[in-house]
Amino acid sequence: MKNYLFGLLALVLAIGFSSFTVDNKNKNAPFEVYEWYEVTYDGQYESTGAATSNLVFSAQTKNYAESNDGCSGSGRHCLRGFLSTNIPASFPSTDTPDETTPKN
Amino acid sequence: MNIPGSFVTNFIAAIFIFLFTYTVVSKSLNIPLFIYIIGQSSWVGNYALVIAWSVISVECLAVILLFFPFTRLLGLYLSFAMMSAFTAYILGMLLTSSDLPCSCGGVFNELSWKQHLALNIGLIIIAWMGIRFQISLRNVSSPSTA
Repeated sequence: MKNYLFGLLALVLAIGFSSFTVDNKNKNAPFEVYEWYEVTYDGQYESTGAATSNLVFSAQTKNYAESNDGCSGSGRHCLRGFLSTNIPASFPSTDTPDETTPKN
Repeated sequence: MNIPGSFVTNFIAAIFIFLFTYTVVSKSLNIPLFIYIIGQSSWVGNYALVIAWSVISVECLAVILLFFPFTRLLGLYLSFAMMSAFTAYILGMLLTSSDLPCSCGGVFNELSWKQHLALNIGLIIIAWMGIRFQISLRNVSSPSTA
């Protein structure tokens, strides 16, 4: 019996620990979709207007946006992504984006 | 008769049972994410699905083999092989990639790649010690006759 004792204890502890591991709130982040807008690093538009007029991608993941943003150069975020429930009314906006595509 | 060597092998087997059970459960709770993350590696690419399920299956097999005394040596060999493979993967990624995903499961995601490498090397040594103790236990319990 003692040959199995350590193993049983290890199994129980492992299942217990994995149950209590802090749930990563971003565990589904790669599959989250956002509304992507082209803005400069300080939130300025290339042209002013309503938020919808500078929408680049709608309902796309960050992976898609990074792969297709076509951005180059420095000094700006290329695209800012907002969850559909968090879209600013218009730009320029100081609202913190939910995601950004990195500068290339 | 209480042989200290059996305590050591039991304890080492328990370490790996804990390790593999924990990582299997953590990965299994979000398999699509696990597949997605390992697929980010250029080494894995389009084989992410196969590799993900293979890793989970082999880890489950290792747990079963380690649990029973009559298959424990095989489980230790498998643990040694798996830790060596994981270590080789980490080393390769560290040497070749600038963007390193981690899909290790649970709290191991919190380790840096170098910390993970150090941990894996330690586990390889522990597995090897377990193998040596298990073999010596077998020799003690079944001595060859002259």
